[in-house]
Amino acid sequence: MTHPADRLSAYLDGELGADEAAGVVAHLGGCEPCRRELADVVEARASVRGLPMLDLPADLGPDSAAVGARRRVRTWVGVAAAAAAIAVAVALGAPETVPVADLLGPHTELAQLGAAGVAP
Amino acid sequence: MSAHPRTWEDVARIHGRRIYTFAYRLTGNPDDAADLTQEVLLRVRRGLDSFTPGSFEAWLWRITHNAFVDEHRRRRRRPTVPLPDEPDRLSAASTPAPDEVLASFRLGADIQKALLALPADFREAVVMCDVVGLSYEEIAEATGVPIGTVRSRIHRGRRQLREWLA
Repeated sequence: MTHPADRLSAYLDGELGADEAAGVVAHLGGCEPCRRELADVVEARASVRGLPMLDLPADLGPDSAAVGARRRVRTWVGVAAAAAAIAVAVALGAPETVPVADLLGPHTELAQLGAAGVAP
Repeated sequence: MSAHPRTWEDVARIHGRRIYTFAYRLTGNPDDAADLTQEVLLRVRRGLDSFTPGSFEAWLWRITHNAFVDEHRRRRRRPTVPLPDEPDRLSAASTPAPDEVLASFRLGADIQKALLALPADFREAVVMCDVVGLSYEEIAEATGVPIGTVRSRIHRGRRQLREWLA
């Protein structure tokens, strides 16, 4: 008889049809290794489900006065880095077509997202 | 068909905790989790206007999956540094006794470490199922793989976790 293998987790999660679930139950009655395997996935599932839910940090949420603060700090770090990069590029005689947006990185747009959240 | 939020602020308000917790369980640290969450909310903001009637959950978690995959690829291209052992920031809503809190930090840290040691696609399937609470069908839709693959990833992921945590 074929062992249920990953159908054991599907059975545990209520993801099998009635017939398939009945087949798994019948198999479990006569197969100690599969009963142990089911007990293992029951334990693992309980461990992960027992992890706490985490609150969205205030600077990511829509309701806080601090919305975007985290991003703005990062943006100013990015601006400073970009200014330094441009200074180096100019010093090295690089063309003036340095893509500033690339140097600034994605955080500029993210800061705007945060700023938009402050608007009514 | 489920009603869907009209603004990214609504999405953050309604789904923010689940998105951030998903991101934390997948990345294992608050900074990367915040970056991934912000990226998801940015993509939601960009895409919300063009969202067509259908399952909002499926749409949201497909976006979240895509953001995770992009972030995972990006991280693999740069040198990795060891993750610090940080205790989970427990939800302010729960106030268990101090000894329970300490015990849960230790246990939670072990489980988090084991999750991070799983292959990324196993980890994502397990977290979507057991943390986010999606059905196998919703996970298949979000991650773009057959439902049989979802079933296999969840089961193999759980068996591996059990082996490490036993």
